[in-house]
Amino acid sequence: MILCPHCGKENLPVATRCVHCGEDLEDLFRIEGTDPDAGLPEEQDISVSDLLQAFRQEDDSQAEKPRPVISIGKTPEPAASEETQSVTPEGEDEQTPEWLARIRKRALQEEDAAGELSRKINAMEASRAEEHQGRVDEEFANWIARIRENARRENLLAAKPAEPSPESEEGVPEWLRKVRELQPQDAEQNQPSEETIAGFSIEASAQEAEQGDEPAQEAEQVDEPALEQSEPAEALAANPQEESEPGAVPELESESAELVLHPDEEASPDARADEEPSEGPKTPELEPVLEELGLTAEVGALDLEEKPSSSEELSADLLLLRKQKENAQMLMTLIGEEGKGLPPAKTAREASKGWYRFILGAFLLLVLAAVIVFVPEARPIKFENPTPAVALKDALNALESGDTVLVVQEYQAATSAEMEQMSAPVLRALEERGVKLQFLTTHPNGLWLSANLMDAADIPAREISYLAGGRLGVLAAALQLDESSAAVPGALENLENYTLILLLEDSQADIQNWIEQAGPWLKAGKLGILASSQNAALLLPYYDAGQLAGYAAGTMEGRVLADALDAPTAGAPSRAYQAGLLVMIAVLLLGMIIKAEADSNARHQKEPEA
Amino acid sequence: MRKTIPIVVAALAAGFVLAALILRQQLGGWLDLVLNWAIIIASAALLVAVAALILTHLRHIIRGQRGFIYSIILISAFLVSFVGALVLGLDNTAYLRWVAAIQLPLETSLLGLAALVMTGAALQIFRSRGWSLLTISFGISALVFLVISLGLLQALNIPLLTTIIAYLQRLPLIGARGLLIGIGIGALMTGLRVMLGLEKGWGE
Repeated sequence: MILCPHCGKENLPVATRCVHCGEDLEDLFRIEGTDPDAGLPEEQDISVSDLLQAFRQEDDSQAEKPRPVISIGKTPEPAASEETQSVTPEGEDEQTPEWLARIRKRALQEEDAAGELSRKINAMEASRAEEHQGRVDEEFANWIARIRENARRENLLAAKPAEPSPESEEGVPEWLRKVRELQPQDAEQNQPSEETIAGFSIEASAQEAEQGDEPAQEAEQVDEPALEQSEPAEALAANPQEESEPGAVPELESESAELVLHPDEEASPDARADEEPSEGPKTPELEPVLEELGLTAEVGALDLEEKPSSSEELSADLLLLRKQKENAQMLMTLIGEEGKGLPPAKTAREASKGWYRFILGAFLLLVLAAVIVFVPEARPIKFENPTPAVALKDALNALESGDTVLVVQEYQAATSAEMEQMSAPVLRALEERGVKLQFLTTHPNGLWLSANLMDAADIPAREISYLAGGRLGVLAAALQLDESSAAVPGALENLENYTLILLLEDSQADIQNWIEQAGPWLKAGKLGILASSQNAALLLPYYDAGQLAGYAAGTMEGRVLADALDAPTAGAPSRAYQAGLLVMIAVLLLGMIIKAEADSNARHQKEPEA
Repeated sequence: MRKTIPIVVAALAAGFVLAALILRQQLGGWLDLVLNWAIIIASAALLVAVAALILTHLRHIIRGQRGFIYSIILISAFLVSFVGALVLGLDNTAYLRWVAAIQLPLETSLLGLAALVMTGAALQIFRSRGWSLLTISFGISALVFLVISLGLLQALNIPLLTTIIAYLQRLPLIGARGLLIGIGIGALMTGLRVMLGLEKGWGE
């Protein structure tokens, strides 16, 4: 930034004209009395060698003479400079170049060799420094006054609450009587003069106190001047007569009373400016009395957030201090709250939405319960099984008495209810038909689940063989070339000897084991499957490829199959299955409704904003 | 050397089994022997896994780690089952029913929890993913197949409705065929990688 030589205010470096006073700023770069364009042709005539030579000659000539002492930081006296510049040796004129002679001649013609520019700048800086110093002093005084006021208020906050002061027989409060006792003469002298101090509201409060008002109320009114700390000085300035009288308002509150109790300060010219900083320690007589009377408690009720009257004129430094104080208070609050955990978030739940959801959920559950209880079990009258199930039915119907069926039990306990519901009627029908059933399992679970299956099918219990090795065991059983294979159970014959291998499966991996490991070594139509419903989709490709004799998946197809085999089924697990499906349907619908409701709420919230 | 030997053994075993399946008459006896070895090794590996599990939980109990009570339950159940099978035998009906009485509610509860988790996920999917083609198609398909699985619509015996349901039930076959094709190709590629020594999943 550059400073305008005329008004002294700041301008941009690129400015050619002052934005404040409008003066041309290009004078800063112009030497008065010279034309910047005119000097160029003359400078072209001076060569570098001539210039260096001229400097050397000048240095030589100066070395022969005593050099003037120039101290850094001090501007030489104008007269001295004129003298030193005006006194030039005669012999030097012959050696100096032409351009230097012109400069010196020009300097002799100028009144001030330093130039008008530097003089203006110096004057501007001096004025700015004086103004800045005044502002700093004023802000410092205000700052000190505020700090003392805050300290005084904090002390008053810790004071005792005001107690009603007993009144004398004359109706004069005790605190006023004690104050008058401290200054009996002043009180008598100033009794009539109280009315003359119109600028203080303290007078009115004092008069009201004398009239017998409540002491606390009086004290509150008395404390009003404390809020107007900048007012007493102005009031005193408006009433110099009252100001000159010591002890003019002895009944006043301590702050205003100090003005009369210390006349020596007011006599000095700086007393008004410093009256507030001197209020605290300069009222030793009144403070014990006021504390005893409890008046300080009422002062403590003052609003601490009240800003001083000069807050609008606060400088940046003071604002920074205030901000630092606020940051410090916030930091202390945070430190105090550390470890206490976050307060519970206040979630404003809308009551109307709560009962709406409750009714919706209750309605869905009611429908579910009604379906389970009242709706009769779904039993298709003329339901036709899909082709694979029909093919399995045909394969089962083709079995005759004496045929051997290998029942491979490979389901988990979790799906045993569904699998038993499907396979028990089939096993019962085969048993009644005289088909020999042999049980095999590749899972340890099959060892203890087989008893339940036989109970459900109502067939005699028989031993179940365990084929170890999983996929390798299935392959070994299918490739059973050696009858004495250690991996294959002894009771298990060659798989080709069985008329049908009926797989009871709930796992796609186990189904693949049998179809892919044993299927290639078996004749077509040896494998039939009763599977859980989730495997239906994966079985169809194998059936279409001719690797399966048929399959039935799920309780529905199993029931139709059982009906085709003239084997009745129990329906209890089917009801539970339907109940589970209904619950899932209800939850899915509820999720959709909740999302739609949330979207609607969000849309309604956005509309008012728009 | 440590990496080369497993690769060579795996490649030789795979090549031998493949050759034996093709040359069944000539190598059938040897194939049965190799399969027996593989089954025994797999059973031994299972025993090693069980031993490692027991030792881990014993370590938890000794150190008193958090949740060691579950380790106590696990080891106790294992010991009871193991000793019961040794004493009574696997053919004992009482022992089998006793194990089934424990296993059946446990696995049923686990499946029920899985169903609840899936139901909760279905509840949250619309809230977390919003309305999109994926979520809408998921919701519609789930609702349709759940209703079909109820069997109530089939019980109505409406020919047109039955035809539509049959058509809808064949839709998953498209995905099933693709899934099976993917599984087959993946298994083939894995087998080839093992035979060629490119699959180095062991010992690392």
